[in-house]
Amino acid sequence: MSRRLEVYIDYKSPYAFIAKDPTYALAEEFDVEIDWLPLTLNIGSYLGTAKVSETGDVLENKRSPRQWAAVKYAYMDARRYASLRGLTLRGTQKIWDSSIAAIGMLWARQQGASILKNYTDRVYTRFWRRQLDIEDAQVITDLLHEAGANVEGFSVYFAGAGREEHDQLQETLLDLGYFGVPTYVIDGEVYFGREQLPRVRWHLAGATGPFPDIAYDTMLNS
Amino acid sequence: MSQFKQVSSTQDLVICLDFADPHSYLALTGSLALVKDLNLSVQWLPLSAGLSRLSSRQPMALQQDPLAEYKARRAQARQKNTEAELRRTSRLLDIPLANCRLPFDAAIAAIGLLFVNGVQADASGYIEAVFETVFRRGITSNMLVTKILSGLDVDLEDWQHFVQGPGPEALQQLEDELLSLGVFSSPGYIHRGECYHGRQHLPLLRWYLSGAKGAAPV
Repeated sequence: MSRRLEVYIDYKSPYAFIAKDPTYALAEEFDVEIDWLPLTLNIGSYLGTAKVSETGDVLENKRSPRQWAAVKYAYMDARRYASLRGLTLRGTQKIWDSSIAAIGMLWARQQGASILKNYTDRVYTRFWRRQLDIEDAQVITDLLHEAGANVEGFSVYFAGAGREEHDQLQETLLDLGYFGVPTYVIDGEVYFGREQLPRVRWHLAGATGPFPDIAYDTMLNS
Repeated sequence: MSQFKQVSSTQDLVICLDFADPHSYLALTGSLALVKDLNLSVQWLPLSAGLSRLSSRQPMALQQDPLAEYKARRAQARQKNTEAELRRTSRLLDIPLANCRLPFDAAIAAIGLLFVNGVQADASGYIEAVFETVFRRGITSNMLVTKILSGLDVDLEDWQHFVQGPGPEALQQLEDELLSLGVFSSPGYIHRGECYHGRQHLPLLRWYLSGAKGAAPV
């Protein structure tokens, strides 16, 4: 029986970035088409806000010591796995509004899985190299075009129906209890975090045998 | 009490566990296997009041805060996830879900671990006994620590002096030291000065501690 797997991501999340390829690998292994959707985080609301310079000097700080500890750990943790996989992950200098890129994702999604993959790969790779301004609608339009998407009507969609769809989705997701990325939804179960991939795999394999524990491993090594 | 560093920089691995946290208990089997399989030198330390628990508290819905409603809804969503994870944890531990929700102040058990570290070379027996007593037998009385210690080869009079004397301050200093090292969530691991939060890192830690041969489990 074909299973539906929903995956929620945010382009400004380093954890979602490093979850992307293992998730693709899982989809390929089980020949399942993933329904990718944006979950746009309001990071400042729970981790405070700050701005840092190119050299890492703090220019603006509205974070508690514990919030700093959590933020620093998140980047360090994501970076160590990224570097083992040869990915570039440079810490961001501010908290980005990723909603425009997310609306681009909804647009690309309407045009097919391969276009969405092209778009997502490009956004993630360039954003985490600090080569992409995801708050610039024209940059996102150009990237959609480069990914093979028909961008005719995107500017209207972005400012109207797309924004509405995105904002409404975020409201719905909070009601459903989805609060972070990556979030995986399968067989009515909601799993938060890349470490849950062994459990997603268990569902895709038919939910037989012992229920697995969480782990950051083997999706790319199996 | 003078400030001194409690966290070892010479052991292969430092493992920080919260005795009130079922996720720490679930991490114990894999952590012990890692230590045994690779014959590691290890320091076991207590950790309580982790950031994950603090951040899951319901935020105040302050009228002046324009994000108050979002924060409150997000906290509810996060709580839903915490409940789901507790259900999965109880399933993996094969214990009743209610045992994962027992109100347990782990401070005395944490001080007990500091005490055992000072008088025994291997604290794993104490750690296993505390977790088993709390989560399998559902006993959360502060007397459980004294009862467990009485089954170990330790001087109970020394324990009473420690818990009523320098123990609480030593625990507070340790927590401050751990936070300064970036350890704020249980289970936490420190290997070569780098911290890892969560048992999901055990495959990578095993890979590093085995000499980083072959493809990294990423």
